[in-house]
Amino acid sequence: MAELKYKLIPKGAAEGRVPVNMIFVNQKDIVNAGLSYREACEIIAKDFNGPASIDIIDMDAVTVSSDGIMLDFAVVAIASCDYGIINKDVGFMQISEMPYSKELLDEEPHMKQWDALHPGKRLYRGPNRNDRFPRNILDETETITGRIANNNTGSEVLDVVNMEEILIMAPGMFQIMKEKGDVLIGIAGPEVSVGIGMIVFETNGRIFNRAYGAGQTGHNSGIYAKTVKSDYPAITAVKRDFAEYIISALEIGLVPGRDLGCSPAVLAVAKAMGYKIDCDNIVDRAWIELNSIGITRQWLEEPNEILTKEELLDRADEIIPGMSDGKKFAVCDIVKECTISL
Amino acid sequence: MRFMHTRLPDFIKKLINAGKTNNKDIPVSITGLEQFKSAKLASASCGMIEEDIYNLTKLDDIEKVEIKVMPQIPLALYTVIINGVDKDGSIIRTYLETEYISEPGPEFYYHNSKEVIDHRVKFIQPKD
Repeated sequence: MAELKYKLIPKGAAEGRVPVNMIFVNQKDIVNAGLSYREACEIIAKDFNGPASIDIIDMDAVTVSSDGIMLDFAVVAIASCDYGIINKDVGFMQISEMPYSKELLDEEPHMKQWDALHPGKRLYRGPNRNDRFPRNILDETETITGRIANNNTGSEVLDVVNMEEILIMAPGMFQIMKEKGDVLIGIAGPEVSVGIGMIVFETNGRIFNRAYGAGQTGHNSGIYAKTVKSDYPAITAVKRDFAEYIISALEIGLVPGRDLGCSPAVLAVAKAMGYKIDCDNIVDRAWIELNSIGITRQWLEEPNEILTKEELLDRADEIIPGMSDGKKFAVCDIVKECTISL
Repeated sequence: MRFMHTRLPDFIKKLINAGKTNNKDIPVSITGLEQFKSAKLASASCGMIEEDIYNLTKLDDIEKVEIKVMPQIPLALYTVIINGVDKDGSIIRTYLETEYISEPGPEFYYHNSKEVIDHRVKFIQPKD
């Protein structure tokens, strides 16, 4: 008998730190069950029969974090379920593959990682215009059914009735799908709040479409940027795991502030390892946000002890700022494996 | 003068009056329109809603009709107008911002209904 497996992080997991139910599905399991992504979401909605986000993930594809770091997994569809159903208009959204093109690489310098680090892999970022239908082209990248909104291509899950929310940074989602190791769960804090806004210019990005370039700020909130998402629970990879991806991008010559977003995590790794940071390309509005969390141009340009890759990885928790009250949890301790007989 | 669109006060009055058909006096409450001070609503849709209320009043067990109005796509862009006003009431400076509001999906309001009849317009994906 065919079956469909899914991973559930239940509300209350991680010592009560997780405020909403989140479901993750491996795209391969859906294909093997002979289902479309939407059909799979509808079957899971019926089986779970409660409020949850659903993210369908392709572990053989690649995606891009908001600050321009490529990761070797991708969200290929998102959904919200509640009361056993998926809202037929806005409860589901598929993400189309982004075709490889020379023009894309020329326009988006951070995508040099595609050729250098992930050649030949399929790329998925955010939805295109057809994927978004019937939403307005400028609406949030979001699905809604009942109480649950699944926002920004699976990176923010909201209960819009009790108004609880959690952020799932892309590296954290990747770790959950790898089914091993640890994730870091805590409160986002001011550094993550600022960092989320330090994005790169992308066509059909996971959050924005052709909006802001490296060195600019999507939050554009001045001293308030550090507060916009600072109080929300967040799941991310342990800092050592995420640092490896940042280092890979720096090693191929990408420059924070010019090619990569100037998030505190990227800047901190670049400074610690002596990589160039394009401070001249970081706009005043972004400096206001960085300064508000203690990252100044003077500090970035001060000489410091240069760490090797191994040294940085060993000291990643100390070097990379962000996440208040963060605690490591083994993925196997917070994820419940579920199976539906079809 | 005849209109293709119904005035907001007339819309509310028509819906309340629709509860008084079939020799009954079913109270009709409406939420979701509180923020509108003036508006025009599609007349044809108004007629369909009146008929829905009329049909509900024909059912034996109906004691009241509760109406909730919300965007069909419950995630929407809003314009936020921020006026700085002086002591004379003159607007000195205005900022215009976009805010995104996500609200519960419609099923939140009817998920335990015994029968759902959906007359809403259907979204049809345009061909490129």
